[in-house]
Amino acid sequence: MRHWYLGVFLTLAARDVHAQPSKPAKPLPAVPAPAAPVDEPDEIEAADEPAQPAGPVVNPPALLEAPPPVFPANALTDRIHGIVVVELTISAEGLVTAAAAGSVTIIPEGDLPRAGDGRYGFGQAAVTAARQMVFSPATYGGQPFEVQINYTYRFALPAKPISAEPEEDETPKGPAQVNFEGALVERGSRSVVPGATITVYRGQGKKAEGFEATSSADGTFQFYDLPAGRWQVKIEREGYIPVETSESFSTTEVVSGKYWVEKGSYSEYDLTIEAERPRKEVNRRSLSVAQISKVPGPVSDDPVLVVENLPGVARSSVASGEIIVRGSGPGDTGVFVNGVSVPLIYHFGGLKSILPSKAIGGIDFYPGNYSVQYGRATGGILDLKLKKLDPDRVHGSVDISVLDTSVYVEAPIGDKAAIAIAGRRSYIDFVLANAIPEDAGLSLTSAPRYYDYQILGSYRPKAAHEFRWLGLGSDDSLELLFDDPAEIAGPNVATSNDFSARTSFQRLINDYRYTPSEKISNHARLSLGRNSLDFSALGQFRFELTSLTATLRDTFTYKFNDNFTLDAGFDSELNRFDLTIRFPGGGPTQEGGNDGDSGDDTILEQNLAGKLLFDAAPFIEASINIGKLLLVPGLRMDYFGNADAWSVDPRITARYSLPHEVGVKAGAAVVHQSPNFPELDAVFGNPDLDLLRAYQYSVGADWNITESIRFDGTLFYKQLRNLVRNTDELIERDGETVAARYDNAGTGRVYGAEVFLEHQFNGKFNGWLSYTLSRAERKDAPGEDYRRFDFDQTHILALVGSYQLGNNWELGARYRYVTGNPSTPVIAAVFNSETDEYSPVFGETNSGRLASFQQFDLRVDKTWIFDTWKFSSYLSLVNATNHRNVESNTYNFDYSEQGSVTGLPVLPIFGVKGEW
Amino acid sequence: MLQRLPIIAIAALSLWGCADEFSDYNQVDKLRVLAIRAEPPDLLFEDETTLEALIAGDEVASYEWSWCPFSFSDSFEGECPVPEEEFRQLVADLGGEEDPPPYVLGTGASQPYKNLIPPALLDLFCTQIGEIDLPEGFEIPPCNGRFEIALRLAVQGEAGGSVVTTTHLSLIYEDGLVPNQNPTITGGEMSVRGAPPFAFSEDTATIVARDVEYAVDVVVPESSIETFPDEEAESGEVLERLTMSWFYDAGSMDKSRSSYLDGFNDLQNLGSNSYTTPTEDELERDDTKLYFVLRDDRGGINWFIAQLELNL
Repeated sequence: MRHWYLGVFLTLAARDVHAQPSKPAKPLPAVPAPAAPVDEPDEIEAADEPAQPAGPVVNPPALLEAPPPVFPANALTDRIHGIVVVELTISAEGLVTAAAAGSVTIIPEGDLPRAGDGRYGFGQAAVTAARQMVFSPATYGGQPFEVQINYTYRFALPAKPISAEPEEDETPKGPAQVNFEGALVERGSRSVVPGATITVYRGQGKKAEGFEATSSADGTFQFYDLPAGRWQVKIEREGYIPVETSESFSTTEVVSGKYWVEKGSYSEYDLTIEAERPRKEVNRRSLSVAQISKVPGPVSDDPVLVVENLPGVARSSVASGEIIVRGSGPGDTGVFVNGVSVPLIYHFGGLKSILPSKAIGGIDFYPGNYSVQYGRATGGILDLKLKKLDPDRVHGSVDISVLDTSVYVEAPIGDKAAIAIAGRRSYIDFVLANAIPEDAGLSLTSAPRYYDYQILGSYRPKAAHEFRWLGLGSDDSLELLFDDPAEIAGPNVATSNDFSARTSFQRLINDYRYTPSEKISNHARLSLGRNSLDFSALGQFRFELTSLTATLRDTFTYKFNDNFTLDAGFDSELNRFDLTIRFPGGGPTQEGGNDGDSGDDTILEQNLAGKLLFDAAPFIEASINIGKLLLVPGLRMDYFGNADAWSVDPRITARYSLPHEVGVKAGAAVVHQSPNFPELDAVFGNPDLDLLRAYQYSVGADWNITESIRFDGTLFYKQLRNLVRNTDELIERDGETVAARYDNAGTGRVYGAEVFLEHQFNGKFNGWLSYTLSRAERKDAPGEDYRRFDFDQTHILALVGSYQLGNNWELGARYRYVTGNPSTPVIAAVFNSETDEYSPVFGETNSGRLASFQQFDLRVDKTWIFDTWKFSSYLSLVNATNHRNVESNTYNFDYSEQGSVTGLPVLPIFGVKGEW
Repeated sequence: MLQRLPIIAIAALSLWGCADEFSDYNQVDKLRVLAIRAEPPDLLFEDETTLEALIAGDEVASYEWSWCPFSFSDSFEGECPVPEEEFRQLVADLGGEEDPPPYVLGTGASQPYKNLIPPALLDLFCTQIGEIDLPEGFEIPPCNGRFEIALRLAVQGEAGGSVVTTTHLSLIYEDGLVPNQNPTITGGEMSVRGAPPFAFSEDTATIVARDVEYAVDVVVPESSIETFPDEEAESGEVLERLTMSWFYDAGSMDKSRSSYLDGFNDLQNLGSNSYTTPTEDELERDDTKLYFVLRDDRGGINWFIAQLELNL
């Protein structure tokens, strides 16, 4: 089934084949200009993938191995050139599973009679060679898929001059000698430029003569036996600014040149292929880094922060780092790096993600109805996909922003391996340490700082085996010393004057994909890591967690035929941890609660050492094509070690393709999630809590309105069961009467509609409109009325656009409108003589609402191109209209006056980046 | 408060925004209850204490003292989770020989309270609480030899304002526990840079100049720092922590609170502050007051009121 089409600018280096079949191709003079230029945009088609809605980005297959074809003997004899366009089907494993000669162009020299290819066999020679080629597979959001491409072979004999008047003497002059060779290098990136046409010419009118060659896959070219003298040299390739120069040649010396070729545009969008999404999930939204790296607005230049501009994602407070998806709690969305769960995705308060944009290949985001390969989250799934390493040489970048500086270097190791190293360190601490006045009453022992580092590796010894590694570390730290803690904590609360918070984790992710055949593949991911979380405040609050973690995820895929594929696997996680908690006040307050509700001054303490927790989940999923209907039923069983409970999650998605690039889709899913550790702890919570459960339903449609404009609309409904809520109940446990603290009596419902209208990059413009209309409600106990969820936001609108102004200037803008979060009014207050502060008396939970949020952001990028590197800078104007957005209500000391805490004022942010 | 510390700290660091500013907590410009003192703060069986409130900012029109044997289920409304009649019955069921005081104690500026709950009964509350059919919203009181009852004072000001205040009172039911004592403030002095200090008192107004920053030193004797048993401490006992809250009618104070914290902040830190007297624009009248409220970490409390005259 190949009924979807990609209009792409795929440039695969066509192979020049020279007339020396008995030994490796030795360069010979170039052929006259072929009928079909090799850099003509080829087509790429995906096979066995249904039509898909608007969306993101596909990376093309890259050529890894290409045995040369044999030059047909008859063609040598008859001095015939040939050009063969071969249609290739490249599997998801990178193997050529089908090859057929499309067009064969026979080009006889001089006035030789033209015969058919039956005599020469160019087509067969090309097909035979093509079947031995190996590619890295085309990917979509990191996931390989099958594609079709056209690949052009050029069988070239020693060239004859393309003079206006053919020379009379055509007698062979003995072995040809290279006397002009060169290499084409892209300015700024130093990448090689394959497929460019190099023309050397001189003279005018009837005395005009010239030769052409095409740069090979490594960007090099050669000319043989050029007559001595001064020649004009012209280098052309689509998407690049033509280069014109002159060179002098002699018959005794070789002229070698390196030519810097400048791209017409250095927009990162040029590096992507916009494609319909080859996917099974009805709700996945994938973004390439190029799509999102220049979205204005976020405080930092970080692509992951752009997730908040997608449908289904509620706005979180400025720099809170929370991801709130379809009315689920901030902790209910799973975050992964290449399918491996990580404890956090953002540094302090969401300023930056834990991976630099250079290491990220794309983002897969599922607001719901996700595959059974994911679980343990009743909200959504956010999976950062690692960049696929494919450097042609050493490349790197230094990125300096107001928050931090990052360095990234990548390099090939031979033909089959590559490595990349990255690191980043913030310098907010240096700034703050000098900015805090001496009489501020506190000193920064370790001001807020973060760093992270990554080592990526890839190795593909053979087409069937692909190894990838990621070593990842992240560390956030903050330590404060207060001159007198009583000033902030109240009377006699503190037993020390320090505040510290440190979060760090390390991961080693091993990723191995084995593809022995087109039908079978196996994808295994083993990760080992360590988490450390240390928080203490004033000697009263302490949370120390150290854990060792190992995860193993394996997915085995068997493709029975084009209409039936089965995925089966398991997803497991083992944790061993030591934990110390000391928490005054009866434990954390749940959603819908208000600080100070409990009035409980009980100090709870827990110490655990060497505790083991094991989670495991086998899953199975089928992809069934029935005509235009794609059905993906799946089943996942989870064992939650923390809760010592099993769950069974059946899920199904369906998609039906209609004419005119329209598809309708639907999904239903059951998902489970464990209460978090403190909630299940015997001291802090209730070990008898059940699993949280959600039923997710969605229906929608997608439509490729034009090649670059796509629409996606979804209606969703979600039921939440067994939500954990605070309770005052006393229960009997192990013969003692204890406070239950939590139970599962909470329920919830979320419903709404999402619209995503995207204009994909068309050489000038890229942008999208995202709108969510939703209602998220909670019921705290049976029989009670529904109330608003803490983050219930009725309207969430984002308009994002980026425009190429030319000369490497780029302008971006973003506008957001979001309904204000619900708030709980304070109706009175009581003074507590012991704590020397007022305690609020709250009204009906979430019966009020904050003012709506509006923000308009602008961003300008400029890139300067030099031969061996490029330099870019950006200026982002956050909240350009200086709109006063209320983040929360605030009150005076006795709650008799209400004010507000507002978010960022207009804020200019500047950054520079050098790349080589 | 401490429950909110992480939130406050993180929010303060991560919220790159602006908050509206309000009047200073330590400036008394309307009816305020600054503290409730029980003298003595810990009661053995049949001991009596006197409850008093430090009230400033307005003349008091009415007082209403009440109590609840457990934490109030609604402290603003004064609802006790256990109705008075049920509690009386509970006491009787558990062997009490004498009725506890009525929940509404009285309406005077000071209010006596006598501990009439036998220690054995309080111990029984703690050991047998699981066998009692308790109402929803009931919180288990800490049972560490001291049984904390809740006190409530509702005050109406003559200007129409009202304040509801709560605190706890410890009833000792375990033999051998030493009752806590309220900390004391014996006096204090003020000084301007380069000039000799002068004492202030509660009875006589001390004359000071307007719009001048004075160093204020309040004297808290070392005897105010009691030791008490603590299982977590290496020595088996620890020193009390003390906190001074500084209030004023007009002008401004450098610190809102100061503390004594063994090993971190000494008594000098506890008693030192600076006060800038008000200008005429800030306060027309010539008399003003400073209020020093001293708390220990076991419920002990005391205060000192310095009378000032802005007439130098």
